[in-house]
Amino acid sequence: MRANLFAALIGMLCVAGCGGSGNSLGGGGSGSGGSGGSTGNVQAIVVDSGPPQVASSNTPAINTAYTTVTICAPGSTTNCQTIDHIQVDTGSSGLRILHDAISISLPLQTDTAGNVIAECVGFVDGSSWGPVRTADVKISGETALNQEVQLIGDGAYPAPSTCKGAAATSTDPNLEDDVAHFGANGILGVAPYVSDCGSACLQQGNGTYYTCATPTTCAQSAMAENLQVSNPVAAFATDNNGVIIQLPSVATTGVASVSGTITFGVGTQSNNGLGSATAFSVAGTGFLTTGYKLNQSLTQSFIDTGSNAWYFPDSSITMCTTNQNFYCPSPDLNLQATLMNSMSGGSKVVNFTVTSADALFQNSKSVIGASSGLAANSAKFATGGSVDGTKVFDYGLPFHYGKSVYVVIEGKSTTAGAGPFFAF
Amino acid sequence: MKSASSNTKRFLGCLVASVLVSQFACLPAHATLGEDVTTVENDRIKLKAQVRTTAVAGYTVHEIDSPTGTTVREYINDANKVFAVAWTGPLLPDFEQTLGKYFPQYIANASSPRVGRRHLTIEGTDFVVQSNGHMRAFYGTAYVPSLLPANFTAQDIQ
Repeated sequence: MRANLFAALIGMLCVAGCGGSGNSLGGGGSGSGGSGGSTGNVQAIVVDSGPPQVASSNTPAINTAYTTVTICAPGSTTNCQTIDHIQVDTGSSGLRILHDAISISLPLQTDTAGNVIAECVGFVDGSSWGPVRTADVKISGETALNQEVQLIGDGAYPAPSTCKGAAATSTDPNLEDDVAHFGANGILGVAPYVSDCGSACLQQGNGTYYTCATPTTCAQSAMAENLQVSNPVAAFATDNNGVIIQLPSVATTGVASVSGTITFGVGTQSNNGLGSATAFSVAGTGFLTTGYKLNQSLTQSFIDTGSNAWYFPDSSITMCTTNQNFYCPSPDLNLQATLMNSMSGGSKVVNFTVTSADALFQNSKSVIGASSGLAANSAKFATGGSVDGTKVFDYGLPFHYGKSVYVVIEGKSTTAGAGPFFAF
Repeated sequence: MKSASSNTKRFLGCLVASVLVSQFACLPAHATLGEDVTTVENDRIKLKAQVRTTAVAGYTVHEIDSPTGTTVREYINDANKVFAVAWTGPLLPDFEQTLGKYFPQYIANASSPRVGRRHLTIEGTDFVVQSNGHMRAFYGTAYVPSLLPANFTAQDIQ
């Protein structure tokens, strides 16, 4: 019922907002140069140790996919900047850029009353705060005009105390407001949704969106979906129904870096057909269901390039002594998970290998590898005398090695049906 | 069990209140870990959220559906203390409200080395929290080991 209501709300909003946006896109879009290494609807991805501030830190990036994005002030072809090491994230929607990675000035987005829009975007390990600005977003040969982009850590707009985990105190260990702490120059959210928060942020007090009469007086606010930070792919003139993430197979021992692609559009060009991929809908709760060992049904499963490992509960696997919460089996473990309830009515088996995380992290201390074997426990409940208190199975970036994973946006159609869905 | 009928009335009252105020006062649901059950009532009044109550031997579960779509379940022991909370939905709950006096432990440890943005496990001082998920789909639990009822395990928190 909630899904139907949600679809209805999207539909209503699109009558008011999306049509106009589409028209403006129809008038422009082409002619912009893509950045190096990209053509047409394909952009390069790299999995490496991250931008210099991250690569040289004590915790360089691991299993983190990055791409390069060009942003321009709306309407400008000269006030532009091409930024590398933007994390590719299929678990969020919208482009966010760290303040210390951007050197051009972008206009602030305001609501109908003229107040600046700011966002406290919630991640499980903390929140990121910053005002919403607008930019033309160019990736490969694709362009999304006049997009809401969050500028994280913008010093002109200090985080309010209500944005937990982003409070502007230098002692806050969870403050992810610069490149070194965020682990990327920005994040490109290409989840199977249009806006980042959706109908939940149509409610007052959602804890996510704020409006600011002045830079230091920001108050929580409801936010219409057409003003929310949104997946730029949905605003491309063409190839706008989703993306394909493709990465090569990787040895379980890891490698220094690996290259892949993000392709825009699904079934819109000769190079992005669904083929025989099996589709799994994320309408409704957003979660998938995994069958794992002994008839366990893990109903909070998800596929996500923004996760750096496989995360799943299994108390039978030896935990690491150094890297807490990660698995350290010896020898390697060959395991199997089954994604249930595909859109065509079946299921799909996924085989994977788990390697000792302590060994992987040690191997990768200076040059970080992309290791298909890295896995961690999504449910460690040792204190309560019990284990496996959660039903989370997270198919993180290692799941994507050796696969083409399709992400189709809500309401957009393909030969396998309408989004939101993942397919592989 | 003994309070089933009053809970039903409470639920219906909330339902009406929720409909009446939803256009201008939709606040997220709150629950406070480790506090008396009266905090639930305070929250209910303040938030106009829908509350469903289920009584089980040894404990009671209050399920609070907030207007944003996130559901918070509070587990209350026979001493009327909230010993566990669980949440699921498109947004994270307000952890300062939900975790109460345990919030400082949460905020001090919320950045897990190497784990990234989707998973968090904290085993603090008489406090355990497990949080997972991404935008549009979050899920998590927190509990106070010393307040768990007899024969109750963390696995029972859903």
